[in-house]
Amino acid sequence: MNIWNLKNKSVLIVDDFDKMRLLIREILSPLMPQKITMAKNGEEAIELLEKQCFDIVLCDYKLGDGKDGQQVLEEARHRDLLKYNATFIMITAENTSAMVMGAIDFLPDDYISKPFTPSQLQKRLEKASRKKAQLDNIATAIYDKNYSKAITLCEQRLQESPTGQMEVLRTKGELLKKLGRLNDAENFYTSLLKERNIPWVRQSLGQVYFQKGNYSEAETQFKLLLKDNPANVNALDWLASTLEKQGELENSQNILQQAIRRSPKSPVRQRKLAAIALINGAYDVAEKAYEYAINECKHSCLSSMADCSGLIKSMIKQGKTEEASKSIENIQKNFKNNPEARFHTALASSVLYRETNELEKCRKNLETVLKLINSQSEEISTEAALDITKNCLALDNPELAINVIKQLVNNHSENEQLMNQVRDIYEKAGRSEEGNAIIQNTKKEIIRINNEGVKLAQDGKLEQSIDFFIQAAKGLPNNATINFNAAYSMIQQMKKTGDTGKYFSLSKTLLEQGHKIDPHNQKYFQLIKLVEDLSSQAA
Amino acid sequence: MKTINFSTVLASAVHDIKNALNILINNIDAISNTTVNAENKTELEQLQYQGKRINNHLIQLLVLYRINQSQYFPNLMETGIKEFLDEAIDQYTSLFALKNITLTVDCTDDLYWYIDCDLINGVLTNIMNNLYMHAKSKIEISARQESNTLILQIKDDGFGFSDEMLLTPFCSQQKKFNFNSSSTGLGLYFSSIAAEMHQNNGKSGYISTSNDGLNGGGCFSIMLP
Repeated sequence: MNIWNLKNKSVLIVDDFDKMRLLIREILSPLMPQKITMAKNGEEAIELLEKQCFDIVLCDYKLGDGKDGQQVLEEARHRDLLKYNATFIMITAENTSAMVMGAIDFLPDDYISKPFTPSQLQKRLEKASRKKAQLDNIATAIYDKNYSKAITLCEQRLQESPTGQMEVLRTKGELLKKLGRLNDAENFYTSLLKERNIPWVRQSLGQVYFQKGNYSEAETQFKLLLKDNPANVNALDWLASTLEKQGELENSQNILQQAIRRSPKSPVRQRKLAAIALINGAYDVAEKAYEYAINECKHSCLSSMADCSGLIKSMIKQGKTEEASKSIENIQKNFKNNPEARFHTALASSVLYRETNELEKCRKNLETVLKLINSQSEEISTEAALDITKNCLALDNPELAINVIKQLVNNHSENEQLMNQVRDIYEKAGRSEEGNAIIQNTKKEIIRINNEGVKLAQDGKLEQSIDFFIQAAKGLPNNATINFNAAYSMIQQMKKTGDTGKYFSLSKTLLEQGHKIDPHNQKYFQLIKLVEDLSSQAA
Repeated sequence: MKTINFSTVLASAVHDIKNALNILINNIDAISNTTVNAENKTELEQLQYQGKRINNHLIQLLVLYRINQSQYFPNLMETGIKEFLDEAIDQYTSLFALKNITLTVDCTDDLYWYIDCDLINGVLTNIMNNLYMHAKSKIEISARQESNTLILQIKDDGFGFSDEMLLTPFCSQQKKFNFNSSSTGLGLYFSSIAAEMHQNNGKSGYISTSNDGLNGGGCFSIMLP
């Protein structure tokens, strides 16, 4: 007699072995789920997750040639394909559980090792659902972006039952970091470490130091983690970033190469290695890493065709221009139905022909690129924008890409490093005045817009100021200041009316957008604190 | 010829074997549930038992291989010990019921400890497989915290450990394990390695065996910092 059941729950089973799928379905049937859907590989699983909402996903780690279970989980979480209260259980053989649990950034809710009996699987599911239900109020608060409330709920829960609360401890730490309460987070993790050396706690502590800009202390923590477990690839990734911040690019590259030997299947890691190797002049390393990252496009959403240009550049640097043009052809063939591939291979071709000085071919490809920009709504990457500009200047036709460069400067006028790159490109083309003028004028325009919005707020016309900034943010989605200013007007309006309902969530969305664009801008933390204070006063 | 990466081959072979074992064990389970004939049922339970033994040895081999290659790093997770023990024992209750052996677990609900579930599960499975042959009527499993150590104990009412299997807490590391006489040697070796992989604040885990069990039966203890 089953008291616990899966009534009203929809379940997704992902396994490449048909007998296993059927077996799991048979095990779950007596629990009377509303619906059981099955997928035979990762690609199918993602397609189903895109279309339907599942309460429970049971996914084998090994799924044949395509995506593995970890990649399915990463993509599902990354693209928000899982409901916040959905349960994801990874099915592993003993030899992979450490690998799964080692990927600290994307954890399943639980994992179960093969072979399992029906009652083991049922109990595991029951346990995971019970845990989810216990933490439901915290998850809801986070979903509503009510972070301070979520921290309070975590603390309550820890007081009620202090043991077995890893999930709650983790969540509390993450929230402290999110709110920029870095000293609190540091103290929190340090006190946990006094009792026991727990890898995820040390990793989080290292991240806090990193966020604080205390890179040497961060380095110490990541190195300690690696002493306990040299196979901890997350620690290797973080150590590489820490070294990069300290200007030790060669060391950073070495560490990334170590991480990739242990775990090559990460396009993000491959891309990071490629970029650093390109700077370090290790063009063969860069070439290999870019190639890997591009081929992973078939399996991972974190991969991108934008790596094409990087690949071509690393080949040109090695004098392999003929191979480069063959590579482009291959990518075109392999990703025939991928619109992104059309754009990026055309761009890579124009870069290649610029370097080989075949300007007519360069121009033709560039025209294709510009045509594709006009037909797609998505914003192009900064790398692509810089390449396009370079090509136009090489063709002695700066007007061709004037919109691209203006858009780039519009979105990133506060990023001095990038602005210097733009200046540099114009200077090398003997047009430094032109470059400076574009940057200056754009900056002036943005300041004018900001001033106008701020003026409205100062005159007490808060609603108008909010509308104005929202409108401006639409035109300048990647400008951190506009996002912050829009949120600030909302905060003032909430203060004035005492009604937090209307702008609470929207102001946080804008703040988070700004924070994503410019993670080092302290304004985010100041403003998010104001919003949190408002909500706690209201409560 | 290209040299193969043995560890990859092993991992992929184990994956396939595990799938096969999973189907096997579940099918036997299904047949057993619909069988009324007591004799058939006993035979099916025997098959189950052998399946579990294969799995157990597979885990031990793989883990020991990886430790030997310095490729195994313990995955210590905070674990509800009561729940963990219940789950590990659950798959053995029907098997032991056939031999009229009762299993009890003595552990409070709020006991949580940092353990590598795969390793400790391997230790438990190994002991349960042995006790299936040796226990007479009763097995008592207990877990408690003493100062900063988790003590997991399994007592039975069988004949107890033979002299060469007796390990005091202090000699377990140096003891030479005899792999020839029986599989128990390998099991104890695996258990001592599994215990040692658990470390905290400079202390390592260890095991001990004695004949202080029920009515002079065996008593296996694993201490985890």
